[in-house]
Amino acid sequence: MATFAEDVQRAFADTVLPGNLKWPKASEVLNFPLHHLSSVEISSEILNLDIWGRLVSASPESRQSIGSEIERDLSAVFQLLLPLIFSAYYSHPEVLSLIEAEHSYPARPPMPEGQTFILLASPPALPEVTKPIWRKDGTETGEKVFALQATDPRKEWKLEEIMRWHTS
Amino acid sequence: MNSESRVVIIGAGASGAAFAWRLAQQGVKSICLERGDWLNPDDIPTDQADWEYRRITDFSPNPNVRKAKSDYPILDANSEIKPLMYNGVGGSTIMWSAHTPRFRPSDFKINSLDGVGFDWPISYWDLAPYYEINDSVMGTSGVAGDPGNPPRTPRDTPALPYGAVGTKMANAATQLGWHWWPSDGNIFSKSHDDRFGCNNCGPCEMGCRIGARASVDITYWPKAIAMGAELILNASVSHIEVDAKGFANKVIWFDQNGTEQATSCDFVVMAANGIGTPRILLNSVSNLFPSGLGNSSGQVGRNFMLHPIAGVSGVWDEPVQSWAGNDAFCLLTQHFYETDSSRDFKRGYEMQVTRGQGPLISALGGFGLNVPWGQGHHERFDQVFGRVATVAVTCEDLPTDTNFVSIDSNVTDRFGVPAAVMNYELEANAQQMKSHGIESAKAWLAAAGAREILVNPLVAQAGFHLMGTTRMGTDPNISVIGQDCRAHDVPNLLVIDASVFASSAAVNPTPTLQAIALRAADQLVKSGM
Repeated sequence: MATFAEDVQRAFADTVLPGNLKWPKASEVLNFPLHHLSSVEISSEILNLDIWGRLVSASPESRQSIGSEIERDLSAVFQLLLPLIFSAYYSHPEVLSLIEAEHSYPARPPMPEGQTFILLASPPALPEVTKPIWRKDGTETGEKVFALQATDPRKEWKLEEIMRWHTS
Repeated sequence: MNSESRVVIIGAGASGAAFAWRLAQQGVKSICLERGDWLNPDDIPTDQADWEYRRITDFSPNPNVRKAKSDYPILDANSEIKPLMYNGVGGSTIMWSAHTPRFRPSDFKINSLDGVGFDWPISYWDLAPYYEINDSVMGTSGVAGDPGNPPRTPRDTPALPYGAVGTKMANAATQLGWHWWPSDGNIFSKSHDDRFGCNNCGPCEMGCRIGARASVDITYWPKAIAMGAELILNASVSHIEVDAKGFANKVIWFDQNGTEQATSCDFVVMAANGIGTPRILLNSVSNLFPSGLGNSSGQVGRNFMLHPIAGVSGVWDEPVQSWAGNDAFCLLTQHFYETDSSRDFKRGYEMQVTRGQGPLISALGGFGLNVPWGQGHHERFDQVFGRVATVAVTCEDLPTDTNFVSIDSNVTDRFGVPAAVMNYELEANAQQMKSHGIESAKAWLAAAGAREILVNPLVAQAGFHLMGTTRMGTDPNISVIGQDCRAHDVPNLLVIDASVFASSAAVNPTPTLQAIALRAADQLVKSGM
């Protein structure tokens, strides 16, 4: 058992994260071999398949179809690699800074600072409460409570009152 | 090692903690056997750069993915919905969104009212005081006064913020003339008692590092332990033994070194969730109970209910900051909750507004966002990230004999105890209900201005509501326990988790199972034990 060679890691990462005018491709921000992949062991049978060599030597334009081939024929390996590489990319400070600039998502984990609702509009008014609308259950207590709620739908109930509704 | 206690509780989650606390309040001490340990809040990885990767690997709510030492295998190949739970002090309230709607009164009488499923032998009104007690111990945010439910006391803190997503969806519900209301949650929206207020960080299901979101390791357990309740950690229960008269008298368990232990008792209380409880009972085979403890009816493990959930996501042109705030709820509608004779299904569903995810899960196309890898990836990420919200359509599930939990002795945990098996398929009523719910969710999102609507017809990683596997009822031929949570077959065996549910309702089960546990403790004490 071993893991992927550095050139295979780089080629696969650039296949799934090719970049565009705004976003860097994977190899522009990540260092290879990827730390995230160091503990992933792949059988030599899979490592020795020629598809990895084809991926490395392919042009960027033709890597998409080889990636699809890997996804189809080596689904378990693909599903193992994809989140590892995406995680390395989407937690990289440079990528997070771009996300912050583009989407206002803070370039840090959610804790300990938490998040602030910077886009909060005026909260909507609660629905007007004029009468209870829940379905009665056919019990005497249900009838009684429904009638009480209908009489004063905005009443503030105390625990002691609720305790008196029903004794079994 | 042998030990003794009058009451042994199996499982330190939502129901076990509530039960131990209520007993301790009345001077009855108990021992709780918990197969996991305390979780140190500092170990929750939401402050780490790779927090989202941890969420889908070793900090996943799915025990088959997480594979922690305290987890046991759950064979799920025969289930369209996969199991989610946490094994440790706090149980699944550790990995929990803390959304806490209550069952409605009609949920307890579905056979009388609608001719489907089974009635409970208790009503909403039996539980109403216990819902209140539970709310006060767990701590609840929200707004009292929902006309869609019976009255309740004022909540401890105001509802969690709606944010842009909630505001759009609330206004759309009003425009459509639908019922809606801010969700109750066991999360403080501002500091209260000795707990911090929520800082809207988002991923509540990973655990709360600041304790704004409740879990029973910080609510019930410290109080129960202070009054004399005892927790034994890393204690994996194998089975329960009975005496010659058929009373449960000994719990057999393995400590973390794999050494077998026994605890003698007068009462055994099952609180190991809707999969763990039947697993232990079915493993407790004896001459008197050859098909498992309390299982003369053959009903242990049967009537397994989950909540089939569809996720319908809306994408807006403008950013809605969908990563901020509790990701699993902010408001709900129960407009389609009850049976309507014009529809092709009985009972109904709830829809709750959930929000979006962080960069990694969004990039992976989580929640049906259709984000490709490779060509077009970055363009699609830009289109959806921070601009999405998902309506979770939670469907009531009906009990059937063909959905069940069983055991498989060919696969075992690390102590050699047989694995649990989930056998589950959506029944026709739920399928039709879900289809209706998807159309309603689409209409809601469209009214809220979503530019694009995406449908995940069944969220597979949503098996967190595990119900019905030791059903409560009056007839011992078709139910396992009575209204006091005692097994028909074994009077000193109680079940207090969601296994007892005779119906599933269309809402999260935690407040209801905790109310049941509190009531069962009172009834046990009242009985003179």
